[in-house]
Amino acid sequence: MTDPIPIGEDDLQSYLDRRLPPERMAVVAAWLAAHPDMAARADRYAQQEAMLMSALRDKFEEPVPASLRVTNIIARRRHRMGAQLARVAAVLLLLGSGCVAGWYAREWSAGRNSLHAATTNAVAAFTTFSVETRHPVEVRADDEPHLVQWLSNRLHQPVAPPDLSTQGFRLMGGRVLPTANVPAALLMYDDDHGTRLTVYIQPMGIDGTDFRYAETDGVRTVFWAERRMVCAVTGRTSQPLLLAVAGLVREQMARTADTELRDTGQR
Amino acid sequence: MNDVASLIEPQIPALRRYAYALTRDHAAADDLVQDCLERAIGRWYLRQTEGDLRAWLFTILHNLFVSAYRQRRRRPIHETFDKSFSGIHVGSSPANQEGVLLGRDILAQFATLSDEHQAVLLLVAIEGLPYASVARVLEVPVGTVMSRLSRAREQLRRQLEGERPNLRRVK
Repeated sequence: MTDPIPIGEDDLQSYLDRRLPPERMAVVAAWLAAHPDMAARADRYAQQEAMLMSALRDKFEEPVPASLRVTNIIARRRHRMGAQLARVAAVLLLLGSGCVAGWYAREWSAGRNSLHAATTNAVAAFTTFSVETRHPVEVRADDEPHLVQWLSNRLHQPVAPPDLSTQGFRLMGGRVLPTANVPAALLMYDDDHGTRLTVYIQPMGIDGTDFRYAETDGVRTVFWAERRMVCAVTGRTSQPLLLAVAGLVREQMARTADTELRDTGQR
Repeated sequence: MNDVASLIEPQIPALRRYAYALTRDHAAADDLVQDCLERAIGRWYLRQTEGDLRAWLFTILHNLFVSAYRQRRRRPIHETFDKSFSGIHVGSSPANQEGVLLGRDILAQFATLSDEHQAVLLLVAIEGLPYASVARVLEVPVGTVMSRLSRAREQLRRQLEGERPNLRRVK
């Protein structure tokens, strides 16, 4: 018997799996008929695979457990992703609140520090300039419109020198002071006895505080923060007088700010 | 989402059968299938729309099996050999010649094959995947699929007939 195409191992495998074209199947079948040992082997293969198939039949026909239902798996995934999303959200929230808290903590501590720095600056300015006889101020009170404009320009906010006449103090004039940030304004007042005191104004992004009091080497200062400004009233005078002046300053500055607000609103 | 379910659900019995045949552990098999389904659903968008869904699912399942059982398999090779030898000498003698074997016997003998041989035999003879798909699942050329298939069949025959594996005759 002659084989037109020799039968190889792949042919045999493909024959067993019935994956040959019909004419080739016939050729292999004929070849096997002529080779009983190979035919017996092919039979054994088919037999063992049938046995394997039947041994696995129960597993194949077993009902699929609910845990393997696609709809359940999708639902679980959704649930898990929801939980994951919730976790991410929680972390973000925590992070966010940390940032916010950090921000406020920064502001708070910065506020404390800068309020302290501003007060130190105010006291230094008083001790420096209040002893001046010839140049206590840079722009004198008789040119108040110019003083107001100058200070307002440099501080980027309207600065109107408070009227302290009810406490017996007259405006002498004022000057711009350097600080680490926006310049500050120093206004100087005196009374008929030549007692001088200063009103220090520095724009600063901290919230309002109540009146505070500090004293260094006989120089007393009452200071507070309001409307994003730090103010300090400083002098070698009594604490009650300083407090009374501080009250006047605070009141007048609030009025100025309100007027400013109303004017801007009208515009 | 419903089309995901309607396409995948019909494949689940076959996936369970394949996983069970490889692990011979019902719980472990279902864990593998569950992982496989979760991955398939999670990567549904990566599936080539006209591609062979069965081959794709079996690829995922097979890879999960390989990575989960790689370490376990390496260890007990000697154990497996010992078992098969003792089984041949003591228990199952000439009844095999009649080809009358119980299901658990065929599974026990099948278990002595290497993972590669088990996989190729299951995918071709039990799951009926085309050779090209089997090549894809096992990530080997079709020629390798054919030679593994041939060796797997012969190996199983020898096991069932109580022959000692003759290493010299295995190509």
